[in-house]
Amino acid sequence: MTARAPDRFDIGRIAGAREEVAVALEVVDLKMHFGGVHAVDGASFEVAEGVITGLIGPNGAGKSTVIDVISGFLKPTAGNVIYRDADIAAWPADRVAGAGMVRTFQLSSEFPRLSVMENLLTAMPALRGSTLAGALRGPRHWRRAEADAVARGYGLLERFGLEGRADEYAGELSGGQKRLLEIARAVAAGPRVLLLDEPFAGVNPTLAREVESALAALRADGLTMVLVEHDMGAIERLCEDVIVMADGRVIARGTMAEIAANHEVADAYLGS
Amino acid sequence: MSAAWQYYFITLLVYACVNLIAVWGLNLQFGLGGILNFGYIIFQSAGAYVGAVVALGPAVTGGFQSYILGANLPWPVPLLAGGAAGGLLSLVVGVVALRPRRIDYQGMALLTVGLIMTVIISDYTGLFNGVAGLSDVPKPFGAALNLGFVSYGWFFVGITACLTVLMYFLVRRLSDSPWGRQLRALRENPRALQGLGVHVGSKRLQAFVVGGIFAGVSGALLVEFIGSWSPGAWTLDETFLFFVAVVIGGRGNNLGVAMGTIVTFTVVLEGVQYLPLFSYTSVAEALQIVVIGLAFIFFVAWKPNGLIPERPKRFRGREPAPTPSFAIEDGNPGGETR
Repeated sequence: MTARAPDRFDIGRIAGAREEVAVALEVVDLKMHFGGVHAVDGASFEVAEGVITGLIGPNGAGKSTVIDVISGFLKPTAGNVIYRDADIAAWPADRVAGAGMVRTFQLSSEFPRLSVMENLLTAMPALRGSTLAGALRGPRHWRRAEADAVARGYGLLERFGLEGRADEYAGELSGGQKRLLEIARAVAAGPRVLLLDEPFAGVNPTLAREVESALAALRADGLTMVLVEHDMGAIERLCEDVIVMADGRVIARGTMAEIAANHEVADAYLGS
Repeated sequence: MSAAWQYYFITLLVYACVNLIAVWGLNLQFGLGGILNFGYIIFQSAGAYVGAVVALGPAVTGGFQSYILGANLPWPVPLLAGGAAGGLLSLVVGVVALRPRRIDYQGMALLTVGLIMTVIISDYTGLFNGVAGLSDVPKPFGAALNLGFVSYGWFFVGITACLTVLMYFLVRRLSDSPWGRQLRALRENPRALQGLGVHVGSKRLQAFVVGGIFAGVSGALLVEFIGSWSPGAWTLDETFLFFVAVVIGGRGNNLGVAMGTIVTFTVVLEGVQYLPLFSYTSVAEALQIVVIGLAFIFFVAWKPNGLIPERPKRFRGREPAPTPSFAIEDGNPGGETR
């Protein structure tokens, strides 16, 4: 189908700001039904470029399903996902990621028997020697590119507080370090949009602060992110724009202060 | 040393090399890629059958054996044809059998394919002479060299050893590359790898086909040595033994699985035969599978990483790059598609 190009929208109507910002991603009337269960039921929203958009809601609201659909792991029952002038709703996950929309998972998804550095290298886009033909050409074909990738990997590890861990098995890191590695790995893939599915889940408070700092640093670099999270403190500190979902639909949008004052949101969380 | 003992050692060495090549192929599939190919032996057999028929010459009408593709091609074409047959069969089978996302379902599909292939090859005599199988497969340079039985045996050991070294460098080149690293990531977490932009189905199929080529080459080499091949030579037991070699040696480590191969096939299977006879005459054969089975269970339960575990590649002495960029640049200078 012919996709509608995401245009610019006034972030002021959703976050109290005045300037216009570009749209990185647009979700239009998205539905994801599993038999009789309507996990997502007509959700629509835009994601502004260069900010962190929070996606919150009570359990079962459909947040993670939305992330699964946007990232290509689920094909929606109906609706569109507009990204870079194309409707990517039917694209498989690898194609979505290849186009620059990379995700992390609710459960740690490191490659446990690969080293921390190898985890990063696996994510580097189109590294020489990663095709069968390139591998058959031998180390002379890919060694230099790999050395450059390793140097970049060390830079990422330093940035994410994992320096000195490069040669350790990723499976031997602590829960919080695995989260940091997973975000670093997603960044190594060179994303335009980063989808984060509960990055603070199961992380101790000290490391949670490190994860939060890492996300704030990425935001400062202008990386667009969508953050699904239950930790409202983190959402308040990190997100300029917050979308609230309940029963598969978007019920509110705004700054965290605006969301907190919204009665419909309170009803959704409290079930009243 | 007597001729009989010499030939015994020749046989041991040739079988060891053939098994090494086959196990390296399975290590690519299972050790690196995580594919449970419970039908691995059929790909070795495909190589053996095709390698045999392209060397046997055209089938004679009314002769003692009937087969397809009869040709009289010079060495090493039968070997290459065997590898191609293993790879081609892997491609056809893999496109279907690797479709399920769950690797246990893939394993069941491949086991089923193996059983179906056994029935087809055994019952349809027009393909590869049915249950009786193929025999009188010519030996490479056998007529030209005109050597004695034992001398030719040592010559064949030389050919086999050279080919084994060649295949080792090939498998090492592949498994040490970024392609091999992606295979190991595929084994660990296919969903996460897909989420990083890698087409996991394609990557898995590539590993499957390359492993099939290794299996095919090993089969073609073996049939040239023993001169015959029939369905009785490729049973599920053989596939199990290849898996045992990979698990005992160290899944994912080419040198480890080489050690596993020697331990499984040469030390244990041969060693058991030298035990003093203390019961009925086939006790050694029965003990082989018991000993191997117990060893397999021990390693799976207590030493799952094998004798020589797979080690991650070390990267030392590199300076960090200044500031990683988060932007994707258009184009792909010096890169490859995933």
